[in-house]
Amino acid sequence: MPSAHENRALASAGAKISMVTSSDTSHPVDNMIDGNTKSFWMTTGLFPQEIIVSLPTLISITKIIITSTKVAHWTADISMNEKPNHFERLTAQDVDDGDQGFQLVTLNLPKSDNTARHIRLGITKGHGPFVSIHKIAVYGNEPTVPATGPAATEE
Amino acid sequence: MSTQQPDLKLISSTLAAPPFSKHYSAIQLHDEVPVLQLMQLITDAMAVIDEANPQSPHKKVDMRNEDPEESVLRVAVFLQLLKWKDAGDMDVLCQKLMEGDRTTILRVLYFLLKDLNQHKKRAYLAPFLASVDVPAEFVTGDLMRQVEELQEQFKDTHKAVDGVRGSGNSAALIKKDIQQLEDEKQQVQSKIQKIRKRVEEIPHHEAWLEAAKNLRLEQQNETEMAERIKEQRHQTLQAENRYTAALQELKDARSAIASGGPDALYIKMEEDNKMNKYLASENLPKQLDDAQQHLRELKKVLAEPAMGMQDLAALESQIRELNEGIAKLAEQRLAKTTKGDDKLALFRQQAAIILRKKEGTTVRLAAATEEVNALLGELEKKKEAAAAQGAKMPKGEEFKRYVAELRTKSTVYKRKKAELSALTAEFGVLQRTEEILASRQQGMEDSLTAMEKRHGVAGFHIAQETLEKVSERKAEVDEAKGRTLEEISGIITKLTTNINEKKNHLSPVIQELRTLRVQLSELESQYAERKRTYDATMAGLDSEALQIATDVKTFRQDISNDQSRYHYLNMQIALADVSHDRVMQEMKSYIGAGDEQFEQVQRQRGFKTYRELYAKRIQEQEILGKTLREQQKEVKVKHEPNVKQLAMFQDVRKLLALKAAHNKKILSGENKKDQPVRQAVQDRLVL
Repeated sequence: MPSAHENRALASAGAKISMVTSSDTSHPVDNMIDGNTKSFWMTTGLFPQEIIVSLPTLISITKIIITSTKVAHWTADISMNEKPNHFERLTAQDVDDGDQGFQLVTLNLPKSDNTARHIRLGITKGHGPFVSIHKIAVYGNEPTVPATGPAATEE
Repeated sequence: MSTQQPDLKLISSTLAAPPFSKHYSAIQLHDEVPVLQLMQLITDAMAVIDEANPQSPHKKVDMRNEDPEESVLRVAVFLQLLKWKDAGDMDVLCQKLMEGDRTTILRVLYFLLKDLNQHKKRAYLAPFLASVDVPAEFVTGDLMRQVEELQEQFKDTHKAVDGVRGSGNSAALIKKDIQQLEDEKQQVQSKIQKIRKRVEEIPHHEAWLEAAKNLRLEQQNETEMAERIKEQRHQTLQAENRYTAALQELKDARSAIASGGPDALYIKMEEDNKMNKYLASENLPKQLDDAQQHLRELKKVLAEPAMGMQDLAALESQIRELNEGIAKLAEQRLAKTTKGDDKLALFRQQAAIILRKKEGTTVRLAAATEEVNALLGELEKKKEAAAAQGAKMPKGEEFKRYVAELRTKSTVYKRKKAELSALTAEFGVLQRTEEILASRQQGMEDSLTAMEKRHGVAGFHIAQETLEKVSERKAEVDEAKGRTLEEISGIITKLTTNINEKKNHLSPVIQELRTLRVQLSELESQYAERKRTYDATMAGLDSEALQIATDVKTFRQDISNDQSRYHYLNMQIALADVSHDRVMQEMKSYIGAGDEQFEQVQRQRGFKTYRELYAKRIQEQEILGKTLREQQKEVKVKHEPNVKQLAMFQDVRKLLALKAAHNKKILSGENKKDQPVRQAVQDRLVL
């Protein structure tokens, strides 16, 4: 059983990226979930950019840690459905520009119980025209409460 | 006079150099330079030679002022002093110089200039070594002796001085050498110092130094020893040679003694002496002569050109003729001599016979001595070999055994020899019988042919013989055939047995091979099937893969399209937000909420609401439009007459311009009165 201190958002654990808003073949999407901080995914310009991480099972998320550069503002939404739709806003956070390059951002989760199947991370602003994301780490437990129907909030 | 030709080039070159520094070319000397000047040159040369002498009569003599006789005399005396061998007769020389003979003068000059330094030396020495002319009254033995002694001393010191002076040049060299040696010494000393310093760092350096010195000394000793060894070896060799020679002499003496007392020795020596004398006086010279004769002949043969066979034949015939001639002449001579003195002839014959006998005996003697020497040598060798190998002479028992062996071997040998002789005898007998039979056969054949001829069947026996021979040969051939057939059948049987053997060997293997072949065919069919299925699946998979690849491509394309659409829509949302904002602002401004910030913004913009702004603008535009329309109406009305006026004004302008030009022309054309000026005068009304 995967423990609470394991990164769920790994391709080896079964997670995958369902959607990104910019793709470049030299820095593919899977670099974010391969567990390697050296490989990264890059945006190709314009904001906002979005990433949808799909976890293999329902997880009660306790922490989200992202390694990135030049991100100015994060937004995180979650969805409990099988398909990545009907997201609910989880949190939004401003990020300072990392002097040494990397930004290690731990998102502040407002609630303690955040069961989700899909996480939609949005970059609304950046400190530069392009942004790179090196690693996404999602820590969580087995869901304590069975997944209820999603609140129908249109995006 | 002498035959030495004066080398004018030398003269001119020597004159050109200091101390004379007079430049004459050789031709000038020969032809142009006047005699007086040449004499002057001679005087100058003499002055130079006589430099050492402060009382030289030649110094600074101007020939022009001097009496020619005196100058000639002076020159002659000086030349005598210098011991000029080519001078010849003094008087003739003086006469020639008086005459001014050019060749003489040039020769004198050449002689003077040739060995300038030598002359200088001689001129310096001459007055000291010349015999002093003392009048008789003052002559005492002592004085003369003293003079001579002094002269001798002078010679010695002069030689020493010359030696020293000669080596004086080498003083500089010696100094340089000394300097070099000093430098080297310094270098060596510094090297020694350095090495000493380095050596002192090594522990026990004294011991090492001692060892090194010892080593060097020992090495020197070694070389000396080696040399001495060589010497000693050489000496021992020589001593050995002498020893062997002495031994030989001793042996000879001993043998001489053994042969029986001094008398016998003496007799033997006499005989030896006689023999040697005979050999020396007769034999050897004769041999020499023969050899020389032979050599001469060979040389002659060599010298002669190559001969052909014909020449050889001719020579041989010549030789034969000459030999015959010689024989005839000898006969004649013999006849002559026998005719005459019989006694003498008898004695002569005897002498000849004895001579021949003597020669034969000497030859035999020589051969015998040679043999003896050879045998002696062999004996020596054998003795030495025996001595070296040890006592190999069989003694007693061994000897008896050896003798017995020898006996048996000799009996065997004799037996075999007898057999061999019997066989050879038999062989000879058989050969003889064969010959006899062959001859008999021939006789038989002849008689047989005669008989056949008589009976009229010639050639019968020959034919019979040939038939027999042919049948024999046929039999032989058949035999051979039979043999070969047998061989072939033997080979065939061998081969068949071999083949059968191999077949038996191979049959189990062939069985295996058959089963394996069956398996192979099965496997092949299986393989073909599987391959077919594999190919089919591969084809299917390939096509699927291709399909999937195209799908993937289309999906990727879709993704990028969606992404760009996403961004595009985002931007549109942003734009829409902005316009929405503006609308909200307008609404707010209508409502008139007391938002200070908003009012600040409004003031910044310069208007309150967009409606105001746009209304104002519309108004302005309308006013503008009205004015413009009025303008337009005016212009329309006045357009036609204005155009007409414009045309008329244009015409007026044209006319005025023409007039101006014309007036200008008149003003400037007052000079050219011949130009017809046409004035078209017409009345016109100008408006």
